[in-house]
Amino acid sequence: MKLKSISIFTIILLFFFMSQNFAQKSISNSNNQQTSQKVEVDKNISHYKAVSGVSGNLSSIGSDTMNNLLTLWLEGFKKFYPNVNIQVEGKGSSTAPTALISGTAQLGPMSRPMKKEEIDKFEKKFGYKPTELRVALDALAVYVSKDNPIEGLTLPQVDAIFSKSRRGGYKKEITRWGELGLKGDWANRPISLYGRNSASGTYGFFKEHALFKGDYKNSVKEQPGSASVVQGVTEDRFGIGYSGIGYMTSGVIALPIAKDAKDKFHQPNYEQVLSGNYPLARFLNIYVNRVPNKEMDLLLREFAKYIFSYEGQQVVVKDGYLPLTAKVVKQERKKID
Amino acid sequence: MLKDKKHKRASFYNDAARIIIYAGGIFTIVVVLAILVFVFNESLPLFGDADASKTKEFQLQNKHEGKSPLLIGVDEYEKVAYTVTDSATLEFIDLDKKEIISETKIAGFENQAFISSSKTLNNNYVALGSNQGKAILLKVNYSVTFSDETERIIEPSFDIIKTLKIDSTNQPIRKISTSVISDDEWTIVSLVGANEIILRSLLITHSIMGDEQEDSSYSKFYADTDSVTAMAIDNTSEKLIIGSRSGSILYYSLKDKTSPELIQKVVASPDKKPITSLQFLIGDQSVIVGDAKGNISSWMRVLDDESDYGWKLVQPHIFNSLFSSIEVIVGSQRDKSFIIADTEGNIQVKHLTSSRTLVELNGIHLPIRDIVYSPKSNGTLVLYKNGTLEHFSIEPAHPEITLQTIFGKVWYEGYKKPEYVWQSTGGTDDFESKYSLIPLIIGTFKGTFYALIFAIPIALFGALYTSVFAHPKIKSIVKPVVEIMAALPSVVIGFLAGLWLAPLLERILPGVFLMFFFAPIMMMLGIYIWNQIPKVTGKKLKNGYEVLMIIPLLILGGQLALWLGPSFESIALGGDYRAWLLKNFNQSYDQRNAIVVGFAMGFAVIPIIFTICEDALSSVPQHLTSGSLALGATKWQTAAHVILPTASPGIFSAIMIGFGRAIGETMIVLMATGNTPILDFSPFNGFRTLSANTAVEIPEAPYQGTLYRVLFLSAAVLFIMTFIVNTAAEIVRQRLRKKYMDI
Repeated sequence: MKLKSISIFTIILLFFFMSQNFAQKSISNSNNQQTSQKVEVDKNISHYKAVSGVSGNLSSIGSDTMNNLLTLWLEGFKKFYPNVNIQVEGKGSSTAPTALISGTAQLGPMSRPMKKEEIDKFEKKFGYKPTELRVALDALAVYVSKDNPIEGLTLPQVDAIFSKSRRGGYKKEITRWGELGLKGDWANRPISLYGRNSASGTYGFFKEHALFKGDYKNSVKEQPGSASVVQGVTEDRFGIGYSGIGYMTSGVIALPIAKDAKDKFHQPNYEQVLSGNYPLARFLNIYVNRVPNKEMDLLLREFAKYIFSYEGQQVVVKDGYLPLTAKVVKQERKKID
Repeated sequence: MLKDKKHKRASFYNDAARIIIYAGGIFTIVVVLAILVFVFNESLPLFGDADASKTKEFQLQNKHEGKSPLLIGVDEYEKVAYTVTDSATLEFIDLDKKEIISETKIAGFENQAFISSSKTLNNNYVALGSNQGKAILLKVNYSVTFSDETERIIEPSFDIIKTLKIDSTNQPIRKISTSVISDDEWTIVSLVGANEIILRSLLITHSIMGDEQEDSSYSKFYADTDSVTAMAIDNTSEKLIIGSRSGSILYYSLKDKTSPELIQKVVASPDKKPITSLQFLIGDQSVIVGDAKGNISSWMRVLDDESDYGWKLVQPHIFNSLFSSIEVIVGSQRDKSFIIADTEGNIQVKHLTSSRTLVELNGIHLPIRDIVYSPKSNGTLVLYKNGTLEHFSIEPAHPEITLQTIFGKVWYEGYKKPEYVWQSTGGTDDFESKYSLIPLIIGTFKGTFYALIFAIPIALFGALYTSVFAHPKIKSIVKPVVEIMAALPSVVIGFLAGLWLAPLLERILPGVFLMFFFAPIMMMLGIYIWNQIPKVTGKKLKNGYEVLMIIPLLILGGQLALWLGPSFESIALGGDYRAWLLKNFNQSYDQRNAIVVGFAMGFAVIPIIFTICEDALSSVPQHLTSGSLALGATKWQTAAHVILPTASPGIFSAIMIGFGRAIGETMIVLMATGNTPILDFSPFNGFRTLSANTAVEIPEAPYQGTLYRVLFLSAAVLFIMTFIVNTAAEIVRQRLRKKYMDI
């Protein structure tokens, strides 16, 4: 009996020790995020003004990339309207259309544009198309571990690393770091690939723009979330992976990317995204179900207005993504008024 | 009296218990069967046929006015169609009212007739060529508004993007093909004469300051064949395919629009008959080729290291032929299916990936002018040369699925050879879904295999030791501890394996391999010391406590192995075991690999196998063991020849239950492997199992869509697999039981 309790105690101790280890790691991660880059929200975006009579439930199902973003928006929104409840679930962008169609969610965040096939299914049910709101900018980043000495990659190189079809036109498949010009003990090391699962919009976007619509290699380790991609690359010195810029930590480097061999390398920052030089920039979208010619549901409209306010865009910056410009905000506001 | 009451009560409880147990058992069987029926029911429609039915047929009035329509297009709701006639008019047709609602003369083509036409895949852009060398690019718009009752109102209109003289010679444009990326970026290819090709393209770029820069190009070349019979340009303006009278196709690269480059010329018609029709499918990878005899095949380019250009054409699919010369091919905007028709008016819907004929459209069997596949791929309009218009609605069901695409090798777009691939979703419509279950089935067995080769020896010998050799006191500690292992949720094990064990193992792998040599040595050493102690001290040690001596030594040995690992790596493995593996075995080491899962899943399986084995071994009748020992057999002889065989049915079912647990395990595999659907048995890379795959992909699968049904099919496959294994195991167990019952 005594021995039994001792053994149980040991196991508990072991767990405690391990969880301590993890806790430390995750704290250090979140600290770094805030110090990454300084981006200012456009002063021309108006501030949010609260209205009366807003309450009820909202639920959001979709992109994992935008999971934290929605949670932060929800927190900010709740400061104005404490009676509002919002649930956020992020398993991947492909889950958003299904949820919008079945009506289980009013907000469908997606990190890629909706496919025509998905729009068809929505339209078949409701008779009109879903409304697309572009809510933030993202620079889809290619991450390597912080020890990696590589300077940058061209898109055809990225394609040759991740894709077996090599539609980017790079002559040879790239499997070792040496083939990218790294010297020393890096030269012979195989490149370890991390990616997202196929439900992810990031998976789809990367496939379309970095792989030129080619197929992923079978050896890409499909992670269930953006955080695990970054975690994987942090732990794996010879790893490479992709995720939204909001998931950047100090354990990884977001590589500068060039369009082709002739182009210069561009950092995945706000300036390069706005100028259009960074080739993997994208909009993050939220799809909503809005009946044409009818007023939008009050709660939904106020939430959208909050997103397109100075405060809402400040949240985007806080989460590590890039805010919209005043011009885009103006276009998007028209869709909800 | 009292006794009788007691008896009654007892028999009541007895009956009640029996009924409950019976009911429970039957209920369980019914539920399992119901789940089974549901799973099969959800997956069976995959193999159903497509459906098509004729909904409308009417005569276009313009035919009576001497005008002949050249081509047809339609909006996405299949309400408003348009035709362009040879006498340069564009008409919009209301398909519900079956009449022409507007007719516009296209300016600039007075006294000319259109003799060639083509439309883009999305059927919004139309290029037309006249008999006097003039071409026009039109854009058809449908603006959709909603009335107050949310009724859809479609307003059709068209814009002229560009009217141009193709060159100065005014020769008639015999064939025309166009690719439009936007209003500001397009290419028109025209055929004049027998083999004279003229390429016109335009690119307008807008700078941030609002300046427009126009970049137009003109080039003319002679195709490398006597007579051009068909041509098609892809939607990205990069590839031009030309078909010749002698049955060959010529692949030109248009990367440099000013000087098209011939990449390859191959014979595409098996009988060297003229190529009559060419069409790129969505995604611009595959081109469908039809010849004058009705043969249909698809061609695509694949990477080729030998040629200078780096690409070559291959023929991945051959389709069932039609009956006469192929007249029209149109592709879907949603998937890889296409509609193909011959001159006799036979119309079929086929699918690229599955090479299947989905459905045959039963039209009026007259010569066909043009066909349009509706943008949502749920219908088609067929325009006959006599001016009849027919509408069919099409329900494509699951066109990409056949037994061959699920269990066989398929030659996918851009692949060098047919392969087994699982890659179910892409972010775009032009993605070719790949639904081979073979990598997942192999992955399932791979995971189970590595888990069991780790778990069986440990659990089995552990159970043998604790039940036969160890002191009962040790047994009373070991057994509950092992059973606690089973209480760990698999998601915790998976989490630890993925985030803690995998990186750790990568660092210390050579040391871990050394452990396999150190462990037996240390064990021998431990036993030797144990036997020597009484000789030195003169005191007899209690039997069954050997393990107390061995465990510290094993830990020491493990530490020693880890300590020696790096030096072993640098001396024997050239400093880096990953590079060594890659060089000598062509195996790349992946951090999330089968060894990690083997350990983690083994950890989950060990308690199950251990407990059941231990119970089986302990329940061997005491008189057998005592008898054996009394007859002078040693403990080991008794264990190996009496206890093990007698307990073998129990041990066997322990292993089978462990197997069942491992094969269906989801969370550990999901979290500890990279879920890479690869096809090999190497321990140094990952895999994807059927169960993990279902867990990963079901949230994204639209209800009753193809992926949804394929996932249900994979569940059915998993069920059949476990069913076969369990049945076989049960038969073996029964046999063993019979054999050892007499002892």
